[in-house]
Amino acid sequence: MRAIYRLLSKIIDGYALLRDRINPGWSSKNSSRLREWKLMAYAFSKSRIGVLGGLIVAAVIVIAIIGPAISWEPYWVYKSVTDPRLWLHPPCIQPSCSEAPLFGTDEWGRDIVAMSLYGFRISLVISLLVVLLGAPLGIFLGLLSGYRGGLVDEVIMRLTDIFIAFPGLILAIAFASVLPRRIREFLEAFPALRDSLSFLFGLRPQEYGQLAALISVWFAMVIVWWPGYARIVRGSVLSVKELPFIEAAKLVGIPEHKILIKHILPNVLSPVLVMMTFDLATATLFAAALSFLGLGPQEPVPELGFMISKAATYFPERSWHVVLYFGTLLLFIALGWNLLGDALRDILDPRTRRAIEFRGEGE
Amino acid sequence: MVELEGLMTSKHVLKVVDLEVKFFTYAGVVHAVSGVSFEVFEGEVISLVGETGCGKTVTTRAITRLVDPPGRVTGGRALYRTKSGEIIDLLKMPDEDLRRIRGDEIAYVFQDPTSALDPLYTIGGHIVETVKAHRRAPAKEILKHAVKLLAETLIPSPELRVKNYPHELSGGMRQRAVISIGLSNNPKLLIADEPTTNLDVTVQAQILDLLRELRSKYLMSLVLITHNLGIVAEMSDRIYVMYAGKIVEEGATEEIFYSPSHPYTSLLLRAVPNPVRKIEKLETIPGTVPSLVNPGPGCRFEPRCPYAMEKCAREEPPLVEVSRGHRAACWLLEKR
Amino acid sequence: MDPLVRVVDLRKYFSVRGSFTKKVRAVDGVSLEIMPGETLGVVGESGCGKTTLGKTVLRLYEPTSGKIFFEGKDIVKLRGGQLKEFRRNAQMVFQDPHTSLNPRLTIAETLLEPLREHGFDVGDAESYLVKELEKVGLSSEHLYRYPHELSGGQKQRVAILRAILLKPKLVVLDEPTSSLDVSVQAQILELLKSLQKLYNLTYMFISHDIAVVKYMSDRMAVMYLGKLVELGDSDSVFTNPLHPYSLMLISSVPVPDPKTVRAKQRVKPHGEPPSPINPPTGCRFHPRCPHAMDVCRTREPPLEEVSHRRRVACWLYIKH
Repeated sequence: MRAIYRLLSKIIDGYALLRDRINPGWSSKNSSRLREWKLMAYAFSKSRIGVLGGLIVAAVIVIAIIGPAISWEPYWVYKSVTDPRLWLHPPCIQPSCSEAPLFGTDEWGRDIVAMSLYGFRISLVISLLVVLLGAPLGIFLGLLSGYRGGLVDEVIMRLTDIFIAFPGLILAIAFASVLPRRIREFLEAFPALRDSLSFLFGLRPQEYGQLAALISVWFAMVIVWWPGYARIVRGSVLSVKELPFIEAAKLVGIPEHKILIKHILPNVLSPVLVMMTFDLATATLFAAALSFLGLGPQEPVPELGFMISKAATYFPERSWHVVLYFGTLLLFIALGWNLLGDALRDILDPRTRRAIEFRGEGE
Repeated sequence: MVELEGLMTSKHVLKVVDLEVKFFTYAGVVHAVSGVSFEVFEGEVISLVGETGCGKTVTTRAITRLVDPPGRVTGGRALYRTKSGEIIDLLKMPDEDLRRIRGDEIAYVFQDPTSALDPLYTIGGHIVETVKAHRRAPAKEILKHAVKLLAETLIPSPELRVKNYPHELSGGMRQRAVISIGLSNNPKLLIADEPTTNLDVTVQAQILDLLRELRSKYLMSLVLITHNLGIVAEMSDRIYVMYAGKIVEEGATEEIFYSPSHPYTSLLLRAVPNPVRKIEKLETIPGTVPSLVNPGPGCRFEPRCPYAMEKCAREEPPLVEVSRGHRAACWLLEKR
Repeated sequence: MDPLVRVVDLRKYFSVRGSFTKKVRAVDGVSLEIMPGETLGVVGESGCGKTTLGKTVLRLYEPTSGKIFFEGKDIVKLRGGQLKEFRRNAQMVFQDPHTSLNPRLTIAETLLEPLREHGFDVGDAESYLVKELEKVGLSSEHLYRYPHELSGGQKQRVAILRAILLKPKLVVLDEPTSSLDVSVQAQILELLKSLQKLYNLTYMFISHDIAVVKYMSDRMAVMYLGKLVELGDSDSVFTNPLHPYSLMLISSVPVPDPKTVRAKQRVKPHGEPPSPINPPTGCRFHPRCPHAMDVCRTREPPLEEVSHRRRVACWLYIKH
């Protein structure tokens, strides 16, 4: 674990040097901040599950970024059409089967490992989009609700209650029947948008129809995602707004919006960041589940949940390897975020951070 | 046990010898308590006085084995004479035996009464639990005893209060309830850590009066931890002044107040606004309490001491006798 | 000389949760004045309303009724720019240094905020702030630190600096040294005294520690359950308290002087502090007062001047 700490420490130092180049003297002015980061890095390195989670997440992110570029089989080629022997070929080890891939193929004869390289990108992007866009909405409403109190609080909280009660699945189904067509038309009108989004998801521009399905799934998810943040932020705001330094800011005459952004928000962010990390796991699984039910992208896009769904038809005799493989991948992605979130929770709380014990050399 | 017998006279209740407590932290090893020794006799009130970080709380928590990681007791002995006359070392006892001592012979009153009480149990429930942990008695009898205890701590309508939950009591009553719970088994020694800091001045006066009465009525010894010199002056028979994990001066109350022999003590006394005298200016001690991570070899007060000599930074002064029962650790006293 | 602050029949009530009619009468008709350059001490126990009084005078709480005159102007109705002007002139130092500074901002950022908000031109911010820090006994090494890296005493110095940064006329100090160690307290009190002389500040010093208030204040006000019961020169109020509550309060203070025979002279306090939601009728202190008379149970005594520079609200001293 020491190595992790040293590595992170070097990265922090490197960042400090960089900032120093841009603004000389930056590192002495921010020495306290650098110290805090290093303490966080230390706390992180001491947590085994944190490091494990971090490694998994790092691996997922790296694979997601370079996956589509390094995949040795394009997802849009239905290989079993030309070579029927490749249809749902189970995994086997060389040299007993020379023509088939290591982990096996799906029902189009595509190497499932190569397919999963595309799948990672899709899952990561969609979970990030959901959380990164759903959270701010919830945070904003939570801030307003907690700080203002009274009628504003009541209204926003009741709104939150309604949306929490909303069955996300039903909403996704409802959206799936209406939105994709609209989105497709929209994308046709703006090819630049269509192309950049496709690139983001690692798909070909031709698949913009599938993209539309993905986006409508995303819409449905964001709508049911923000209430959790509103509640958590409101709770934190309620306790922070009573603290003397808020009163001191009021006393100086700082206007309310500045108090919210500069004083309250930074002090309620920690639980939000932790929640976001856990949510990334949940969002990944939820998106996969929606795809499994057929609400997401269709052929030939190899979305992780969708691959499992297709394999279900032939399960378990012929497609057990597909289900096992993609299921395990989803497990790992979710596990990684969850472990990371657990460690983050301890690191970001300044009190637990400072209570970390260290068996010193001086003993 | 013969060797321990030699250290304790029959009047001794508690004798702490060379206590050492260290905290192993991210920043380094903190020498919180370094070689602290003090004694408590039957029926007397001693005060551990000092400011934040001097180690007074850690000392008493160490004696009752309440020090949590990353802290550890790394040396010393805490000899205690039980009600049956046996002498034991609190620091070396097995856990089960220690449990018998806690709450029965030695009671601990914490600073914040609210967190010392379980909000789910009535006051009577607390007392029943405390008594039952140490002896057999039917709950009904214990409750009668509880009402008597509450009455002694001047809680009005004790028969009603016994059935109250902690949140139904005011801060002052809660602290009195905590004291009652501590007294339920007639302890020989009561350790009170800042028992009145969070209370109003008038309530504080009532509680201090109460503690004095209990001391004389039950011949109970009291170890009082506080930074309030007014309380110390009113309550204590003897005082131990602590600084940076060490005892710098000890003696009878009047000796300490009127003939302070350690520079820290005299500066501290002059830093407190004494309303009875006309003061022009308060004495300010320059600097701040030193970090106890790797303290140097010399006197720990040296960096802030206006009388510091060259020797003070090099060597730590031992406690030397100023007069009978009055000792201080300062090289200035060597001249005599 | 005209008073800097004049409070007339000030009241601040808080609603009780879950009830439309019940109110906590935190400040219930207080009238006093603070002269420029003086330190007025306000003492009392928990629930007496002294902190609420301080915050209401600064309009941190909106008064329920009553008037507050600052430099002759009624500030209760001020808005916008005029309110901001008042804010520049009246500041506060809070009790707990650990929560009165935003833990996420460096000292520099915390101090720059009020300056920027009021449009102070500080030129080279860094050197300006370092000069200001030196006024309160800190230095450039503290400028870019976070609050948690400073000790309690240092944090309180920053809080004091923040309060005087805008060069105010009035500073309300709410238990500024109660969370601090004895030796640090002495440093802060002496700092406050020297700053007062240097900048001609007027202090309202709120504390439950009567010894400290006596040391710091010229005049002392004693509050009980939202009302002012005694007001006079600090020294004489301490040595000769007239109101029975003042006597009880002052004699309860433990004095760091073993020989003083105070324990024998003490008036034993009895009874529990009552609730500010349902205060007793008539004189609020009558249930606990050893001298309670019939009139005390029915009529509230007004605060009147009963001797030179001494006001008391007690029927023992006022014709009834």
